[in-house]
Amino acid sequence: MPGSKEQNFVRALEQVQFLKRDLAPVLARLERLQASLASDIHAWQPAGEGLLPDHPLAVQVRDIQDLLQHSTDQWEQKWAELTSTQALADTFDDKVILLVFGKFNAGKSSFCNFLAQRYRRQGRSVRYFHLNAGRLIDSGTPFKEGSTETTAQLQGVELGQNLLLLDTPGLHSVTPENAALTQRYTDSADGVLWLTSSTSPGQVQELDELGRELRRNKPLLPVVTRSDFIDEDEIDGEICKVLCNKSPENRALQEQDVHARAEEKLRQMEVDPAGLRSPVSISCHAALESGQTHQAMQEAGFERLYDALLQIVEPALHYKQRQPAELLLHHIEENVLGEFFKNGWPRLTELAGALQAETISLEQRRADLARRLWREVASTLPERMQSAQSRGLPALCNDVSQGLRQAFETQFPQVMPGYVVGADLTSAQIQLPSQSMALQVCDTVGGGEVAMADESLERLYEALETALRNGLDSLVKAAFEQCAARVETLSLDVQAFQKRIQGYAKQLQEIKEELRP
Amino acid sequence: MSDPDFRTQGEYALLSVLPGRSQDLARLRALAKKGRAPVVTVVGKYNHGKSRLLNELLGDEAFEVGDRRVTVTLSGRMQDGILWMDAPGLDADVGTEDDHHALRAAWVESDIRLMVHAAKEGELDAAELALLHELQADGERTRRQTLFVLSQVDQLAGDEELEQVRRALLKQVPDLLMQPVSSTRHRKGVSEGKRLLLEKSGIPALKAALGTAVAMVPAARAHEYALLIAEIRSELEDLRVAHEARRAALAELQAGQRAAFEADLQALLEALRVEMLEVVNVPGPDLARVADAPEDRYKMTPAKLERSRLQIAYSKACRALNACLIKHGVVELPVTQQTASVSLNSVIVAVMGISVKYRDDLRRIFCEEVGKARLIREFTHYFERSSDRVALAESLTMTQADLATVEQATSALQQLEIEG
Repeated sequence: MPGSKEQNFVRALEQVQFLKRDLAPVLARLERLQASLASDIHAWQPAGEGLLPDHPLAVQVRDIQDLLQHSTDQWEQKWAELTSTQALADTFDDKVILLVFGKFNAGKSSFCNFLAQRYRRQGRSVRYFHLNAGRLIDSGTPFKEGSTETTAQLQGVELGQNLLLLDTPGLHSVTPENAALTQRYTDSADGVLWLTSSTSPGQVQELDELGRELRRNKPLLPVVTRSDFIDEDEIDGEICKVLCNKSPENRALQEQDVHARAEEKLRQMEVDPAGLRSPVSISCHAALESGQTHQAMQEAGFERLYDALLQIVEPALHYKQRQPAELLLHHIEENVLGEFFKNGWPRLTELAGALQAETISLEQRRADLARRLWREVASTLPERMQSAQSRGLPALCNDVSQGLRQAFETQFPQVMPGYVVGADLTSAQIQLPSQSMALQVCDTVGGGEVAMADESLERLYEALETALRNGLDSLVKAAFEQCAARVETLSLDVQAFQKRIQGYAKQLQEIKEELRP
Repeated sequence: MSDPDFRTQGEYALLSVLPGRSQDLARLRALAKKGRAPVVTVVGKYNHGKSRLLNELLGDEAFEVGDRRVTVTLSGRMQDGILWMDAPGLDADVGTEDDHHALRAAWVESDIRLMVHAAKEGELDAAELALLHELQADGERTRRQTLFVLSQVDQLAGDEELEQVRRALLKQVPDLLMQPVSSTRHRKGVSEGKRLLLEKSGIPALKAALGTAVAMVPAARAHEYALLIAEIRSELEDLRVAHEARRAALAELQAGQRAAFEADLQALLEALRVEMLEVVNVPGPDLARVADAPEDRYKMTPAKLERSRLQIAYSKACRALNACLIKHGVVELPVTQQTASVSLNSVIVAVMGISVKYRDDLRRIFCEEVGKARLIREFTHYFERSSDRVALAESLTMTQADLATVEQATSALQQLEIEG
């Protein structure tokens, strides 16, 4: 029947021009971006000195470095995996490839078989194939159909010269070794048909699995399948069944619902909903039952379907033209930066938070250390005065200094585990506050046999206490300044690194906007 | 139907310590209602014919139906002594805030669940399977029953396809009891008087199964009520034990610190007693009390010597006491180092005073039991006011408050049980 949408579609596809586009400049920019990011990651060696290797912050830094390094090591391999798609895309670079996606009971096989049958009717060639041990094998027979059967392998059908439908098993239902391969083939698709059964249409959580395709701005056409029902009656003690199309009103309601929900879902997934087309309801079953007349095809929804298919050919072709750049862009977006933002970034943010918390806790721990040293050493002053009475003032000062150093050596690691301070601190020596005081006290102590005046002893005690406080204070201050400086340096390092990474994300966004229509 | 977010005061008391029991408490409240009708709820994916099934079971158009998602809030209706409820579709989906709320209400209210699955869809998908497993596990625990309804069987090509679907479902869930139904057949069978359609609708069989299930509701409720009370009680007990252990640990630490301080102080005071006895037990009068004459101003007199001797001994004792106070955190390191160092700080001054001490004073303070007891009492008083001790006491108070909250919750539970 001349002028049907179906024939239009078939003819239009035969006249499609597969044009090439010069992608060299954008590819070069993307490659530079990746190389520069790799060298930044490699060069990120935050100063960890002053921290023992088992300090939680040092461990955290090392873990992040390892993680990032590991991730960059994977880039090559992931890129290689992606580019193997290229082989398939190249084989089919004169074909529009549509991915037929949907749950096991969405009727994907029936849909593909039916379209193939229609192509044959139009006198066009049809070639079924499936994926086996990494190779495409001609099948010769149509896909298996059935509501409980699940497709376990990737299969496809070539319709005429320029159209290819890829039927994928749900990504969860394939064996692991098949999963990666399947993913690679689905990557090569230029557009997506999302089949959703009319029994419970628009289960948009299924789109989560399509995130990868949709983020590359491939056009998405929802198809409400199995839009039919069985009308039953009991005639002469027997149940008779008649298959009917769902009414146009009913279909319109479902299509609107699916459209609204899919749009909301895409926004939620942060995918531009511009690629979403208006859903179309069909019933292969009803078209078959009513003999595939033009009217039957129209009533079953196929005229509208062919129209919608024709409309996604243009964006699909546009995708095809920029496909090599999309591939690299996708690689950088997902495997390179995406991986960084997914795994590395939260760890860096966590580290920045830990550093901030550490800075705050340093103040408190500083006071804690001072208090511990004070308790330990000041409580021994009267005793030390007593035992040093006959040995003179310098000996007493040495004795107290040594007490302070010992206390520091035992208390510092307890209060600040994992920190190392400079060796200069361990030679701390207390100083009596003034020369005159020192001399006066010295005289008194040096006097030996003469009973010391109470006033002098009190002054000596005061002087020692003040000297201890001052010595303790400068020791603790110096130690914590070193620790704080370490934390601060690390913190600045992390911030600067995060800023650089954000710069790359911005660059990538710019490239993306230039590439896409 | 009650709002699952409404709470009684007793429930607040329980929730404040067991926030995870929110749903169980709402369920308990539902169970406690006297003379409450059994509640039958349909659950399942939207558009699988839940509302239509209810309409057939009730014999009218009580629930709105449509070939797209319609039920977003929980709706219910009393009939034949049963509260029938239509839950929103089970869809891990967008914009489901209402659904979620209503689904939770359905969970709390129901005694019997009808899980509906459209036959045409074949096997269960991941969400349905998860729900069914959850319902089955809940059934094991609470004895609430779930009937699995295979709906819209009229939409299958024939008995052979029905058998295929059954097999597929049994492969997913072994021993699954299925109630195949067709609301459409039932409607037509009733309105047009067609017996075969009525019989093949499965609705009469489902009604019979429901009758059996409803008869078991009172026993199931009693079981579930006792179960929830017992679970909550045991969780409260675990909590009480944990708080009690922490309280005991803190109390032990508190007592230990106090004992260490007292032991040090006692030992020191004993040493000082012996030293002071030597100082004060010298023959002759206390020369320190002899006033200096004006001409003695620049001379060393026996009175001056004696005063110096007593003062040296007293200062030494004070320094030793101060050292003990420092060791136990009573005398803290001043926050700013620049404040003039007053060696005998305020605690010593507050306890010992600033007056000049003579032999009698020293004897009274250091050598007699009354004096010693006063020192212990007063230094201990300041010990308990030190920042470490105050912080420790606060932690202890907080733990005791936690314990009290658990006890309140326990009596709230008892009250609930009495009321139930």
